[in-house]
Amino acid sequence: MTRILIVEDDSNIARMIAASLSIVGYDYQICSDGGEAVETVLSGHFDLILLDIMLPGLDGFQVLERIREKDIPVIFLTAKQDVADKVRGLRLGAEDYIVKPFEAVELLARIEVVLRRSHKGRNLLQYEEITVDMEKHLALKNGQAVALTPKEFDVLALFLQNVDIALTRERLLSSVWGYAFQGESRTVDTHVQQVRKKMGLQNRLITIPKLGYRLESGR
Amino acid sequence: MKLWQKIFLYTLALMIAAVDTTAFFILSEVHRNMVERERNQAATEHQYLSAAISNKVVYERLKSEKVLLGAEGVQKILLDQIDSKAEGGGSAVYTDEDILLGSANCIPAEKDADFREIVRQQENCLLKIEEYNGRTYVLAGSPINLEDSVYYLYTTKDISDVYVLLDRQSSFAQTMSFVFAGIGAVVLLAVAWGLLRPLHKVNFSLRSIARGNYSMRLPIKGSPEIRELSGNINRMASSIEENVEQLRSAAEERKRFIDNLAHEMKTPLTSILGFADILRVKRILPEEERREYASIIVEETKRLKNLSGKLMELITAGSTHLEKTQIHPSALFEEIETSFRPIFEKSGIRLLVSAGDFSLLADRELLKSLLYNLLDNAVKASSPGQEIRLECKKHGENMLAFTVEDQGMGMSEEDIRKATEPFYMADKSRSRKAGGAGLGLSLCLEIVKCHGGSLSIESAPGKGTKVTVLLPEGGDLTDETY
Repeated sequence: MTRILIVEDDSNIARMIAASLSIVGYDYQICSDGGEAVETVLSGHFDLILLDIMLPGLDGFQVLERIREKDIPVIFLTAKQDVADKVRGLRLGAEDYIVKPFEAVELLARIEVVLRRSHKGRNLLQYEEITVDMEKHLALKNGQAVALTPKEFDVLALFLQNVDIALTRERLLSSVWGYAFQGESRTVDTHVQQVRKKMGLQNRLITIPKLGYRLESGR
Repeated sequence: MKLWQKIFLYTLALMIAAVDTTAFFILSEVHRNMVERERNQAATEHQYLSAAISNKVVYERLKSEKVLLGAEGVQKILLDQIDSKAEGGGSAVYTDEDILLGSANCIPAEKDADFREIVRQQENCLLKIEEYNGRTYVLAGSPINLEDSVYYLYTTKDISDVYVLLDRQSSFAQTMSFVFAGIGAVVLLAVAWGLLRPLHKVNFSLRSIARGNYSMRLPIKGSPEIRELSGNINRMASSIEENVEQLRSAAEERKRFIDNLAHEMKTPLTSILGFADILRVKRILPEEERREYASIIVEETKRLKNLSGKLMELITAGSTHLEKTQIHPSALFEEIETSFRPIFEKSGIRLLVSAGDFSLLADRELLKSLLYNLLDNAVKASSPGQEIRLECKKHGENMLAFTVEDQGMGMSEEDIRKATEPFYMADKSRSRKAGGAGLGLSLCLEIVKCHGGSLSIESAPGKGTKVTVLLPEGGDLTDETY
């Protein structure tokens, strides 16, 4: 199970991040102080750290410098939209930089990307009779490979990563097509329909009016 | 052209002009005197010759024992005499009809018929300065009456030497004036350079200041003018330095304020957006989770509301025109006590109020806001069972001291120092839980400042906190400025 350390001094934000992480089943621990965070990291085992920059005690940069030897991927969380801060964070070895405020699903998507990059992500995604092998780029239905275009594959993988979570068209667009993509949400609809048809998800990958799509588990 | 070049050229020109003019006047005066003397001498010589001729004629007449010498005899004497004069100059004799009888070395007289005509009319001894053949002569002419006949005697005297002397002297004066001007130029250059050198130094330093080195100061030395200039430049530099420093610290303060504001706004927003998103996208949401998330959203939204309210107060406190009215602290305290009673009852803290019979001029709403904020802070720092004192006493001659004293957790020295900075919270998590934005004391300070008062904090960890606000007492209605 993936263990994530949340270092955040505002208890409500920490609670929100924890709630987001528990949706997809990540295990987490919360730390509200810089010094305490360093101790926790050095003594425990974590796959990822979500690190606030403005912290009591040591600040986020100092914490990062002290735990570098553990080689754990770090995502900075900060209210500062300062390019200099961002550069400083990334130069220190942070994997990503999320500016507050952010949506829960965006946080999950960024975590997924970082985890995959550090080979700690889930390689085999399972949903009922469907299996997706992220490494081999294979989508199997009942053990049979299904031919998908690369974008369709990405869309399917994103739904499997976020079972029971509604994905908005904007989220799909930015995760699959990238932030710079200026496409229309029609493109998203077409791809989702294709995935639905090819994988036989007619009653499970449902459309939620005014919101987006959700792959629902059989619970 | 540079100043030293101007000074140098003007002074040099003036010097040459002065030397030349003086030389010119002296030389021409000397020359005029010499010419005058030569003229007088020429006149004397002429008269002497004239008298000598007359005497000779009389002597010859007496010698020959005649009544009258004939024209022949007279003319012979005349010619003898002019020949004898020939060495010093020249002389010539004309008859009454202006016919030349004889001339010795006297060409100017022969040439100048106009002069002869004038002499014939004047019947008098006349003098004239005449140039001839590159030389200068004094020409003298007079009628001479000999043996009933009138003759005209002319003499010349060469005074060219006087003119040659003038030429020589003026060229000497010119040479000398150039030599002295040259020496003067060198001296002047040195003097001008020496006088202006402090100016160069001042200029050099000034350039450094202009380039942004505002902490640079000039040494106060040299002539009084330079000292004054340096002093003024130093004053200018220090006032610029001060202003720049003020601007810099104002800009820094503003940046810090904005950074803090952004942080204080984004923190509740992050919770709100995050929980709202979870509520929106999560398919299966237990009732208790839904209620918890929604509660947090409401709580954080209230925090934002509180923040924006405090910000508005802070902005208006700093800019609005004060509506000052006569306020009696005792009445004001009663009002405050009433509105704060529920809070005190709920938290189990006792409020002790005491105010003397004073009055002051202040903006009622702002003064209330000030005391509310101080009491609010005191309540947040206190635990059940403790007391908070709100007092108003006389302080010194014409000030009133409002004090809010609690027995709560107190603050460290660093906390006291930073307490009035916007968004500073001594205990962040505790203040946040109580809905604080970290703006209360900043607001208080702003209100106190615009009433011309002061605010001070006494505190120690665990020993409680005492905030004292001094405001001017009494009814001076004109005092509406900071």
